[in-house]
Amino acid sequence: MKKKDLVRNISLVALFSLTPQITHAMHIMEGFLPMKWAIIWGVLCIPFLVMGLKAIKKNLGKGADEKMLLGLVGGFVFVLSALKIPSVTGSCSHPTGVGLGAILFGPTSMTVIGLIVLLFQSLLLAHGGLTTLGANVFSMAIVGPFVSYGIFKLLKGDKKNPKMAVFLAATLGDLATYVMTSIQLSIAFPDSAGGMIASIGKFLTVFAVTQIPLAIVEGIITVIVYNLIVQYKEEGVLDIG
Amino acid sequence: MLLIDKYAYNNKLRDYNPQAKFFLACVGLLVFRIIDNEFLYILNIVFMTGVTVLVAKIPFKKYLDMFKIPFVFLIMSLVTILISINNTDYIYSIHIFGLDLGFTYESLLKCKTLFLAVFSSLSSIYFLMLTTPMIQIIKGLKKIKVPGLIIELMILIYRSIFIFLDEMHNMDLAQRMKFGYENKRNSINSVSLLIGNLFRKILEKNRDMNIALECKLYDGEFKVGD
Repeated sequence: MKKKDLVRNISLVALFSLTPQITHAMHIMEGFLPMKWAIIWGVLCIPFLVMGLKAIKKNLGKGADEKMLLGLVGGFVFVLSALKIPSVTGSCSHPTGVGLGAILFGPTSMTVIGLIVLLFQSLLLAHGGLTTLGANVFSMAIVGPFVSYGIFKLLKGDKKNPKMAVFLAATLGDLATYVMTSIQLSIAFPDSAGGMIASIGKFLTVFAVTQIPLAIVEGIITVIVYNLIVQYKEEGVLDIG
Repeated sequence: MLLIDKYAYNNKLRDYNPQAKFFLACVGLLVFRIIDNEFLYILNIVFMTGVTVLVAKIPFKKYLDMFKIPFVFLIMSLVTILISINNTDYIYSIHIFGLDLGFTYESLLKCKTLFLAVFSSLSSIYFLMLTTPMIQIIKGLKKIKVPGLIIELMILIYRSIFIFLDEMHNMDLAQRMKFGYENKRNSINSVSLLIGNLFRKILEKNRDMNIALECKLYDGEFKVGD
């Protein structure tokens, strides 16, 4: 694997599968989950983190620069969450086309980056929290990225309309995060009469008000950024394969 | 640009033993949360606010403003927990779309406790992050044997956050001066342009930094946090 491919692949996976979820999804706030559930979600994240660390380490032997790149990608994801634009939300995209089949760093290594970004978000921006870090990592750095990554992989055979694939991957990944967070909240706080199922219904309805328009806007932005990057590439501004 | 980070480096408790600060925050975050007692929550809120505002000298107004950040999430979730569907012993209820919506005495009590729990946890975590610089936290994590790779990545990400914040700030300012955020359509376009440009910066910075590292005979490991 050439160094250039590596650079391209990491940044693409990160952009595409991680940013929409983490930047403006629902962060469960500090102290909101009972300790029992905070611990359970934390433990569920561990296998993914171990897989991610292994995936990163495996590729580190080949050169030195991947670490730096992962660091920059993490900073980028964090900064997008600090974008303050009323009623419009930041998110990001992913230029398709070339060599996605050869992706080395699957969504697992992005779980590690997601963990660190979420930790910084809770300590520097007061989004999310330390005790709820496990739950947030699970919904935003595991479920969301895996869903968008999977959808993109599924749809990328359709060469004629890559925009649709990008849009769907970003939007559905975002929605998956929203559904996952609703499930996490309703398991922790079941309805007194209807139990967990009624509770999931309640959370989904209430958060739909903010999350569904958000997911669509993020999908649109992702497509525009995608076009921009493709354009850069064609004009030779970007050297990404 | 990051207000919390600024206060973390400019407060009266900065040089105080980080382990003690971490321990104090953990009492509020873990121990009190497990005991789940309203009196302890109130005690913790008063104590932590007192220490943060009076001892560490964080401006009280800024401190209060920080509690607004997670407020939307809190209110939405509390309302959701409060309202229950097709229950029997409501104190107050309405009937819409063929469903009985209302709240019971127990759910009201539960929400009150949860509200206090969240505020108590928030005051603990705000105390920690307003008085402890990130470098001390990273050193602490290193001490409790967090994998070296994670520590290295944390430091690299922490560094690149400020590089990108600066870049973003400049681009955002330029766009605002050109009425880039006048209406919704423009805003979406401007945000996309900004993100696309930031993405380009990742690749540029990566190239530059690799050249710099090679000049310094970088061998694949950052010796950090000591």
